Amino acid sequence: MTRDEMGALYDQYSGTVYRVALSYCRNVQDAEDVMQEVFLKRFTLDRSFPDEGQEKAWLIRMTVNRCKNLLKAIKRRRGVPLEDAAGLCVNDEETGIWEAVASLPAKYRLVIRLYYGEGYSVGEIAAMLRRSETAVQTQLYRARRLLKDILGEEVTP
Amino acid sequence: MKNMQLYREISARVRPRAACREEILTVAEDMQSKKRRPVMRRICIGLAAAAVALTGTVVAVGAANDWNYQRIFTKYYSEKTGTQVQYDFSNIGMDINESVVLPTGTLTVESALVTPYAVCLSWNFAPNETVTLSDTDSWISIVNCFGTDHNAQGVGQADGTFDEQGVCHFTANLISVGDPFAGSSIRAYFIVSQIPSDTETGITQVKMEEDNYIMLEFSGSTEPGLEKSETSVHLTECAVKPCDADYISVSPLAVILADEYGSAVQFTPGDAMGTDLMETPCTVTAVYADGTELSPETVNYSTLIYTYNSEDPADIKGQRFYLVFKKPLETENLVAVRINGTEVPLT
Repeated sequence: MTRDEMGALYDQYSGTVYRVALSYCRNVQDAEDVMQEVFLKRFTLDRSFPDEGQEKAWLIRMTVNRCKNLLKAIKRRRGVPLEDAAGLCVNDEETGIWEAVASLPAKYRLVIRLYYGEGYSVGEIAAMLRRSETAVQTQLYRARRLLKDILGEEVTP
Repeated sequence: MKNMQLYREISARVRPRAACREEILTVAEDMQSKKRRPVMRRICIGLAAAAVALTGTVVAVGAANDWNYQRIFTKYYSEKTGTQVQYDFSNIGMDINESVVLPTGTLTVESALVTPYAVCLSWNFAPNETVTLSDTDSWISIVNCFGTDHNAQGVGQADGTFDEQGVCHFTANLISVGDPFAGSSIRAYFIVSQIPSDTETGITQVKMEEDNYIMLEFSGSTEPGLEKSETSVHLTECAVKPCDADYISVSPLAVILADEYGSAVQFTPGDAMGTDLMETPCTVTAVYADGTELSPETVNYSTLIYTYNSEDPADIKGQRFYLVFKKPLETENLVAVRINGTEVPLT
């Protein structure tokens, strides 16, 4: 793979990979490390994908796996907070929803990230994470329930 | 009402640093110019130690010719029941018998018992003349397994026992609650350590080296009725609350309940090494097709718990439970597992 090809691949998917890693790790440095690992793995992978959707799903799956491994490896560490909400959010309402999602357990953040942030369907998330659709729906339900507890009101799609 | 559209809009603003692109592409180019090859490394712990590097060993499920597990499990279950029993695991067993000669001896991966989410691996280490043996030294071995393109992961730790030929044998169960082992490829990393009895330093933590591994490709499992269920079950009396078991898998050796993070475990039949023995957090009943049930003959229950500071952004709470019965589960006839009154069908 040439540098231009690698660069094009990076430009196409880096946003998604980074956001998934960030939502899972909640730490900018870790997210960047995971993103680097994932792209290096992809660049050296001797495999082609039939379409962009499958390639993107593969990258997300690799990202999730790397994040899990990383979290297990670091075990306990006082992390640097996720992207500074103040720099991203323009009002209190945005800050509230962003910080509420960030405070969810990792598995719930992930499904929220993929469902609401990346626009995947429950079926696509299930296939990507190799879970049943029921499991994904359950996690989405629990995530919304937790968000309701945190925000004090229902969330809408 | 909070609109998740807001979350979507904020997300779109999140981008990696511009410098990341250059860094990654530069590293990738550098890697391409210096393609790495597996190398053997010697790791010294105590008086002797070994790390193994094998690649490309392909194993497939089939009838085992020299079945090591008969002696292992016959002994285990006979001791538990107090009578001499014999069980046949040959339909899910495979012989491997791959060896590698190391500076301190020869490591041989003997065989594996493979179910979709559990691999029972047996291996041995025959130290050579460079190793000074002592009856009072203990031997321990660790195997770490990682899926190549999958999320199959497991870690096993086993105490070694020497036979009359001076070969030290190890057996450990690897459980994955990620992807199934069966049908996937895994890299297995071994470390064998001799722990001298005349030291109080204990077991030295060994850093796993990236290039030391044996590649195992499991073509699949012929064992029916072993699919993982992802029905969540709420467990009571858990050390970590709230506790929902997201993953439930069944092998002939145990019912395993785990949550999202419960992918790496260490467990040996009859010896829950590295885990805490606790009171059972739930009642588990195995339900067979003919209506008979197996419960509650649990003889061993163990859990491995991760608990971290809830205020830590990298906070992890994970746990898994192994419920081992006095006799192997007849998985081909098993139709469900009932946990705390919730019946989870096995597909």
